[in-house]
Amino acid sequence: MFELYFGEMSRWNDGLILTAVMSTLSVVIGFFVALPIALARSKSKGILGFLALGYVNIFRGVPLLVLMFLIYYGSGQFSRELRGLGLWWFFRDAYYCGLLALVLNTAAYQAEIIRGSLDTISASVLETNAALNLTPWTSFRRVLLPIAFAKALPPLGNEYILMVKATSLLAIITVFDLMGQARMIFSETFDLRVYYIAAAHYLVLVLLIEWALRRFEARIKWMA
Amino acid sequence: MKSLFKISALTVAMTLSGLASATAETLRVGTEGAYAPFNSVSQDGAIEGFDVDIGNAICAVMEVECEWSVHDWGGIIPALNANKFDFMVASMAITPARQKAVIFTDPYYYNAMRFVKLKDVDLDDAKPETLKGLTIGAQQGAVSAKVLDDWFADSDIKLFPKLGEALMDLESGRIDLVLASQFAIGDWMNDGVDCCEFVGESFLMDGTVGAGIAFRKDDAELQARVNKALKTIMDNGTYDEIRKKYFEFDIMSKPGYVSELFNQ
Amino acid sequence: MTWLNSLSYGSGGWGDELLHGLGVTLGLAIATFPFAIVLSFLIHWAKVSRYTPVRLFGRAYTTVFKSLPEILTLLILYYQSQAIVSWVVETVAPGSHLSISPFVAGMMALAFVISAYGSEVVRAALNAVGKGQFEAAASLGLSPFNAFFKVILPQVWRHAIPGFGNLWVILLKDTSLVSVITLFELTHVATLAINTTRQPFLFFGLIAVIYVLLVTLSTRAQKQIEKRVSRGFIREENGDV
Repeated sequence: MFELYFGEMSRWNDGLILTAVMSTLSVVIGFFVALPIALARSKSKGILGFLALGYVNIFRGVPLLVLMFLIYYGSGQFSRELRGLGLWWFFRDAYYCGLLALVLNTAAYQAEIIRGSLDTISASVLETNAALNLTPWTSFRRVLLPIAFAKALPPLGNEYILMVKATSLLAIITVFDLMGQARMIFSETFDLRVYYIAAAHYLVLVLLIEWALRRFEARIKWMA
Repeated sequence: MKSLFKISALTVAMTLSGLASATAETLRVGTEGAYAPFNSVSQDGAIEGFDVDIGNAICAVMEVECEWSVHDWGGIIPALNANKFDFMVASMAITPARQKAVIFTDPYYYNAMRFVKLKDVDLDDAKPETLKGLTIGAQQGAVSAKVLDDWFADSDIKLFPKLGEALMDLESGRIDLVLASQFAIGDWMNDGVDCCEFVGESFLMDGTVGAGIAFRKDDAELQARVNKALKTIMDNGTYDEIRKKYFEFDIMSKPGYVSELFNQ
Repeated sequence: MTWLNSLSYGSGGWGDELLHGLGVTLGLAIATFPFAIVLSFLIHWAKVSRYTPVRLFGRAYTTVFKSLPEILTLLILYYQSQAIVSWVVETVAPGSHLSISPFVAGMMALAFVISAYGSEVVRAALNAVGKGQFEAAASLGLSPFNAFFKVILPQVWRHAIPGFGNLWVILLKDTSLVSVITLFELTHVATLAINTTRQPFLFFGLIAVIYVLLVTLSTRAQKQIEKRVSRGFIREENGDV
């Protein structure tokens, strides 16, 4: 067990870093993609609301594994056309493709979380803002958004943990996160204990994130 | 279709075998199923290819029933050792590292590897110095991945779970070359691909003897029986008949080693 | 229109194989779900047990299966369960074999993962029903067994359906992971088709649409069931005591 860990230390560390970076990036970018979608879901009854609903339903319906394959190998099939459009530099890179799949997926879930918390902000808050003569934009940015964020933090934290787990699928498109490194070491050593070492990594990582989130939640609890 | 149903019938139920072995002995044979022309799953769900024909010929000589199943390459040795099947005919190169985990028959062919490149990539030869800075793909856990690791440190190496995926990335131009079995690449190129061509000579990884049939370490008895049957089909012409079905050339001639090629 | 040919039904196309893959996908999800629900109740009870080791087990179970990526759980179970079963069979009846198929390994892994989340659905639903119901049933002289099955359980469903509905959707999508251990379900059939046709966009795009349809249908069905079971209840979402 020790030699499987210490002997491959640099690969485990590379994988761990990649898992942490990719999951954090996808959650953060996903949050900003999710904001307009959540607003459209919450406030718009027209075409925007319909499009937002469509987005959420589609990307919550496709398994992430299929989405990753589709974006990576599907785009490869159209490499000539994408080159012509000047987009190939993006789709050529497995990291970008993987990140795109993760972002599209998490944005759909985060949009629903944020919509939920926007909907619970009571009308009196809006009235107060109007009484204070805040412009709608200032009211949204300085009051609504922070409150919505504070309310949404526990489910967003869960979403972060789900994304840490979801990055494990990156390995199928040649991005070697923790799981990818584990599968590689496994295919060389034929030793099942490799997967237990990977499991220990994920367990520690998730518990650490949960602990950090709890501390952060406690600090901004007054806002929610 | 029928055999696809058969496969799923096997997958739905746990398969219990050996208990009622009074009549005919059944042996379970594992392969990858994603390595044409050696082993692949056809459209109607049948597991087929050179490996499968060789395996079936061996089973016929041994007068046993053979039951095939496919397994992910990255976990195929653990699957054998976990007793998911009794022996493996999967074009697996015999290497010292693998011999620590399983035992092999004598080689049943020499699966030399060779580079295939995009036609757009201008190269006359494939040597560590000429491939510097280029992106090379290979299958994870295959001997070619090990060769890239040992000899092509200055190239960008990209590893794929399946060979087919590496070849898809080559065709789309994400990578410049793939290193894999020359026969598997040849089969792919015969399939109407016009993006790519072979470059450089074919070679074996140092220490590999050829492709062998693998067994659990404590199964030396079965290894001896299969080895004997393999000799029989090689002597009585069955092997050559099967070979001719897939290849027009001799696949038992032994190519040079990678170190002879790259160490001047 | 070669892409239409590759989807046709019969020996020329992959239509019938995809349909069969869809059957395996649905079969796996349907076979797993009841186990997952029963496990959810058991794990919930373990977590509230008065015996410390049982309680610790329940908590460890949820932590582990909620922390590990589903694919890792699946791979560990696939290889480890086979090693254990082979060892047991070899001890009990030397010379015979019992193979754990990808289907069974997939069922186990998915049931474990889903029930880790499901135990929380059960907890919330039982809380919503309230302790009072149990006490009332006990005071009527019902055994705990009868109290649970005759009084509590019928009420629990109403509160648990949204939660379990979500888990059903997650389960449906997670079946795609079992393709990695070569179960011939929808995703795996698509990768096989791509191996020979080299049309990843067509096949992955198609199965993506199929999954979205399955999920949409499931959500519709769930709404119908919710409506059904809440017949006769006043709208009490906000005033539930």
